[in-house]
Amino acid sequence: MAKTTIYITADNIISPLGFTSQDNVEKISRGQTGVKCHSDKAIYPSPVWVSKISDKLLNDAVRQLSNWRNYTKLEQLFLLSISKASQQVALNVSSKDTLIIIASTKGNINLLENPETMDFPKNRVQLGTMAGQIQAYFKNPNTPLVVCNACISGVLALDVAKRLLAKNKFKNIIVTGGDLVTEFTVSGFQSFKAMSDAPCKPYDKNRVGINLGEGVGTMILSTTPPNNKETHITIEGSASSNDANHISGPSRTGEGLFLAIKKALKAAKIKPSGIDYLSMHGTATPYNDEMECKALGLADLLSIPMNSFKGYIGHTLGAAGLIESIIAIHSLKNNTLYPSFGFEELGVTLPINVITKISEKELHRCLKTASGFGGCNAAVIFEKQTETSI
Amino acid sequence: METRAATYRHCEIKNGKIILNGKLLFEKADVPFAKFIKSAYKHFELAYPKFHKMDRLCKLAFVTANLLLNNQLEGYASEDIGIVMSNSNSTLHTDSKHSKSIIDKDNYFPSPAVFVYTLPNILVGEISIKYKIKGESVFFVSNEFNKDMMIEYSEDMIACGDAKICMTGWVDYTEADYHSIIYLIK
Repeated sequence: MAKTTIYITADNIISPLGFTSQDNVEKISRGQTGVKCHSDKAIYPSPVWVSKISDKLLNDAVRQLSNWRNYTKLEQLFLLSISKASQQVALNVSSKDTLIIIASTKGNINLLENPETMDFPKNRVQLGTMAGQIQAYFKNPNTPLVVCNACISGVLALDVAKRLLAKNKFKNIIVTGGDLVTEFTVSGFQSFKAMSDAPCKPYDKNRVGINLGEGVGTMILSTTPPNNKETHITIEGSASSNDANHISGPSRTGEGLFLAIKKALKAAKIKPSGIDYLSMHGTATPYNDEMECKALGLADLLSIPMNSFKGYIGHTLGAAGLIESIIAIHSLKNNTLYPSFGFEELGVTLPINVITKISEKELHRCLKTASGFGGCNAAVIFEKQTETSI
Repeated sequence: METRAATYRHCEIKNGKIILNGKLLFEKADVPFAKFIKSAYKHFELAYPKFHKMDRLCKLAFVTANLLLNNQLEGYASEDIGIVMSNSNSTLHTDSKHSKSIIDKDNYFPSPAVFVYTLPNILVGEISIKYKIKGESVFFVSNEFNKDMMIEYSEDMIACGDAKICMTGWVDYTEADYHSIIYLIK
């Protein structure tokens, strides 16, 4: 089967660092983090360190949406992000050739927590109903797909989009991922004793756990290259796997993640040495980060410069794979490696190459990974194509 | 598509009945789900201690998968077995349970054993652990079971070499109702 080239034609990130991808990348290049201590009983009875979007900024931004009061906070974020991304390439979102894929772990779960204070019908907590709101807003004729696959949802949604585009089912797919910081998830991760009481420190000797984050990331995938751009980013390969080991604990061996990486490399037809940069999941829990180094060892990728963006934006769950992939592709476009925020001293058992200083480097290919509860892993490979290389 | 779906081995559980390829295997009508699924577990001698820790959604998926698979995966490598699942209510039943544990700030008792089941792909994880399945998997949530799309998606995965066999279906549980149907696509 001839390989269909899949282009990323536009992208948007909404996080506490900003409401555009450029704002987010700019803040990251200046070493800023959205993770702060919040003393808010609506999130948790005691203070917690999370990356949360300011209500004021969001309330100002949503006024550009029609009938914004009809949408929940997460729906507003999706609508804003999709609008901003599609405007970049004047995409016809209401076309039958356009599909929307949504990645989210918990969607409107905040409606379940406080039903009496909310003005929305109970069924909006269902992801399919939430997706229907987004579909209706854009008058898109296709029922959106919702990928709900723990912390790999974002990367996996790209894999799903790639498959559907390769089948010529659609010309453009909008892949968006989002989750909120809610008491539901904060209390759950606290009960696992998996939360850090300071900005998290992926791969560091003193890492103790995650910060939750909220945000939305949107990418537009297309089978036709964008006009008037000298540099294109393509998806060269992607894959998923399962550890078949434990429902909440990461694998001790890293074999599951290795399998996803191996399959993605094979699909992209490239060797490990063809990867210039690794954008990892790096949650900063002791077990996850150790598992990742084992997988990189098995994949022969230990020497490749790598980072985790969790220290800047927290763990955005269903959005993580998309937001972090977008920052990674901006890394490729800018030929810039960004430091792994919070990292000081190596705290895993294999010699991974954690980026500690912002630096310029000619970059062509990036591998992005994600792993999550349920033993799931996913990997995707992005490549930068310049006019001369096509 | 209905005829094509029916050609694949499939197991369905609803209304107190377990049906394999259209044939009634087990029935226990008019009992609550918890009692029904436990009776089925005992009847088929599934003997898997982890079953008792699972939430109801996973128990439903686990029993369906067990009866569907029954040695069908012999000869397939772990990484060649795919799982494509869906439902409409995600993990609503367990979500409510977790939510109730955090309503009262003076009686605050969120539990990791409950919280872990607030992700629907945990049922894929449970099946994967039991059957050592390491291949591609994805969990979709949609208001209706889009059987045609799910089967086509799985057939494509097999056609492009990303899997050799695939479990594909729908597993949904709420306080009011339950329904599972899983196909074995090869």
